[in-house]
Amino acid sequence: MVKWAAALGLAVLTGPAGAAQELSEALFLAELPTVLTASRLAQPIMDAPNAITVLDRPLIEASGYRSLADLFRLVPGVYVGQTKGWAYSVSHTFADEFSRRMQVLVDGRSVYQPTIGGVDWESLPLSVDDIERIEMVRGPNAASFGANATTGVINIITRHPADVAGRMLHVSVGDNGRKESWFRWSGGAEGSSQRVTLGRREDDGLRNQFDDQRSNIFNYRGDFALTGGQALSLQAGYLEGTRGQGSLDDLASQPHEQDVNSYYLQLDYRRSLGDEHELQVKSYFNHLLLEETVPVSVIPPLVPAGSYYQRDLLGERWHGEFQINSQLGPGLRSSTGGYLRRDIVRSEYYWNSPDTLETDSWGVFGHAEWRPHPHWLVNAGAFYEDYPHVGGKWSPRLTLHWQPSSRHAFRAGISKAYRNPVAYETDADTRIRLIGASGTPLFTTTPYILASNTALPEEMVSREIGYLGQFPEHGLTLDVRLFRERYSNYISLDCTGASKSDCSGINPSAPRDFVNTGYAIQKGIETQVKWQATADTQVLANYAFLNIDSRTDEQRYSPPHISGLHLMHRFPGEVDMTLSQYWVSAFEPIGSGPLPAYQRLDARLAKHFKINGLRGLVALTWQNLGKSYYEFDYNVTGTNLFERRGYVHLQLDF
Amino acid sequence: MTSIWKGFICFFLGLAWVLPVGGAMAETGIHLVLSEEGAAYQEVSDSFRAGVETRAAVKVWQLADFAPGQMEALTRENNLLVPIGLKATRYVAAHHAGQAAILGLMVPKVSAEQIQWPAKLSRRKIAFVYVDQPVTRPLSLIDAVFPDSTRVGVVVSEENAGLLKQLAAEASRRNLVVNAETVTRDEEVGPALRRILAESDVLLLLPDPITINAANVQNVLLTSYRFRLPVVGFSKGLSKAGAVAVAYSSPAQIGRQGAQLAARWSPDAGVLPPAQYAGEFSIAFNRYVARSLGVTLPDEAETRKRLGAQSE
Repeated sequence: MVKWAAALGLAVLTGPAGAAQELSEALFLAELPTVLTASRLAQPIMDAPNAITVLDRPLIEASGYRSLADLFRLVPGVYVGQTKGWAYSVSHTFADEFSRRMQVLVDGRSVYQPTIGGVDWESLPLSVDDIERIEMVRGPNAASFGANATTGVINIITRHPADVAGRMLHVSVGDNGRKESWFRWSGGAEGSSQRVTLGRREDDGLRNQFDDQRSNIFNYRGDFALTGGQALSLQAGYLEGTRGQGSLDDLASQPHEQDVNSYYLQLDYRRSLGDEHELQVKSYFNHLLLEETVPVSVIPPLVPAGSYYQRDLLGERWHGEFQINSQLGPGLRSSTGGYLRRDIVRSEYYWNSPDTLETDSWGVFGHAEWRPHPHWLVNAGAFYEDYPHVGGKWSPRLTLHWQPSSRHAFRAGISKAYRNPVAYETDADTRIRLIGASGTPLFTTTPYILASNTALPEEMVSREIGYLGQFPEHGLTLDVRLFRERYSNYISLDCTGASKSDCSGINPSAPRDFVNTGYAIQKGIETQVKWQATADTQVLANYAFLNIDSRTDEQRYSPPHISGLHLMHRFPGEVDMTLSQYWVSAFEPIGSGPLPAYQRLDARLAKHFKINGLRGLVALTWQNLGKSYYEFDYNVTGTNLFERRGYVHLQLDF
Repeated sequence: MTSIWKGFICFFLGLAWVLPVGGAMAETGIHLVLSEEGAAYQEVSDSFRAGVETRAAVKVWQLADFAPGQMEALTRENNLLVPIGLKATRYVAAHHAGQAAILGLMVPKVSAEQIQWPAKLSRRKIAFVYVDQPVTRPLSLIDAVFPDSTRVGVVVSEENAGLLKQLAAEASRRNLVVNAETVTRDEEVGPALRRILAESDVLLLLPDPITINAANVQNVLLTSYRFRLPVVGFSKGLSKAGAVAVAYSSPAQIGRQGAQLAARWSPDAGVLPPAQYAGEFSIAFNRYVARSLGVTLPDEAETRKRLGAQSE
């Protein structure tokens, strides 16, 4: 009965819409709903309490990069290095193998690993073709994103299915055995649209490394507009593959393959609550399982030939959150919300237990953006989180903005951020359970790492001054950030024995432990200049200087100078050219040997074409046209040589 | 006998019912015909009546009030019929008896041009004050508000092909490039819009019931916002919904203009000046959306002055 009534109501409602094909004054007089409600609008970069670099779709395409992590080379002050062909370290200060000090979100879903921290970039079931834009907050933003948003936040925003309607085929081949093929279908009607992407990629990795990778990827996103200003978005992704691990020089990890199984599910709901408020609800589940049978070198008489051990690692995250954005008055906006989260990890190798380890946490936050005067803006907010072992912690922030005109914005702010130790740092009990060639257990080693669970969260207090200037008559945008950051309770992995040698060998006499070892003061400047020289020519120049005064075990953990110069030009006949030159000064990544300074020149040449409604693109890209250099040099010196690479790409949209 | 008297009484009562109309016919005057009861129609009517000189008697009708034959009676004489809105104008045209002059107010130009009038009615007796704007106005607005924008995106249906031609001609005089797509059906709007947005600096919405309507306004504005493109529109409602800048003529402005045209009408000659756009118009900005898109809006009063617009 009720259903029938509803159906009739619908018929009545759609009736006039069908008849509205004739233009009458009604269209001019219509009282339309406020679609872009103030509470829904994104905060403009000028009003943001942080320095933000935006990588938009044209820039992502112009870069020619096919690995997600490579894109961050375009952000001032970010170091990108490969510890293996498939393992990237993306860091904004504190360059280490895991880059645990940055929060990374894909459509608001945290992909930070609850197991060992950081992001396993190549295990994300996501194609660069499906990214609309990336916003990177340079500096702490724990007040908005919670713990682990200490040195930066990366927001990856994927493309709306309606914006990529049609079919796309992308094939690329090149050096290092790189082969990639992607197919995307996207379609739907007004109000509902969906896209499906299927892909496969493989490469042989770096020379002299066992780091080949092969993966099959599936990605789905569906967006549905419901009645009454409600919208629903459903996302899912799956990646399965194998990748090379180990090294001939590593006695405890000889070359072998690692199986990767990664998937996620995400549901987003948003609803207008009148013109002034909007509710957003998000929930997701992440799963990453790495499985590997690690062969061990023969060490007579202890370790016979053919011995191995299991080193599997499971990390899962259940997360639910809500947020209410409100326009409280003409110059006052607020954003409040909270989250509940459960992290699940399991690894007999890392935690010496076949059981899962669960960590439940929750947090609430509130922010206000208050404009007491057209030239003045105040951003104030805080995140309160409760995390096991750590207890309740506040991450507050206060920023004052002076905008003497719409072209110039000055900002001064202070904030506090925490990085909570991950399960590996709190509960590690890492041992090798050695199994003989016949499958019979041989012995279990003494622990290599035994976490005493005493490490306090790392703490960052940041003071920064920023300037954002727009000079439209010259096509120029200038972004400057000056900062002083005090990073304390730095967690490092130290030997608990009398000397470092106590912690070495196959059965160390003392384990290593995660402990707070001091503080570092970072001072620096970051600048980014965007210059639209002509309608067809764009120049992007980045420079970052970092001064480190470290009272930790690590002294030179980030390059003091990182620069980038990018030239993008469109020639007649729809031919695009990009030249990107990078300069990175010498430094010593955490957990690595010293890395010499290097330069790198990347280039891309692309030709767009159209044939009978089919749009296409042929592109040639080169990475490191100059001489070879060393990427993030992990443990074994001299292996991560980055040589010149060339790729050919073909993309068809139909 | 009694029934005969009753019959006579009924006959004279019936006459009395009809006579007021007859009286109006005899007086000849201005008859406003409102398509609907809404506030906008009332506003046109009020400002029209305030603007006409007292010499002419103005009678206000609701379209729904007309009995069969009444419109024919009115248009048989040298009256000035002033329908407000398309529905009333259509009704007047359909029931026109050949004599009265017609001044249609607040009617879209493209629809006004499609109305069928009696063949014998002199075209000089038909005039309009359109609800829409000449193409120069939104283009001037784009010049004033987005001086760095050179590529104007437009999606229209085939009905508006003529308008698009005018727009392109006017745009090229201003060194603006119009990226246009023409669609025939509702479902083509989304894809066309996305192709246009990718290659434009600003999206110009033109009044077109296929490309922009109450059913798709949410999609159009959200998509443009996702592409970070400001939208220029043609109504106050669009400004509230999310268009960064709009140029429109309010009902009161249209009514005033109507009164000026009516002043040049006399029952004897019966002719009217040519159809025209409202000389008065207003602009409105959506500051929230502009700020979020990083668009720096000029001073509203100064822009109004520069464009020759009026505050509503």
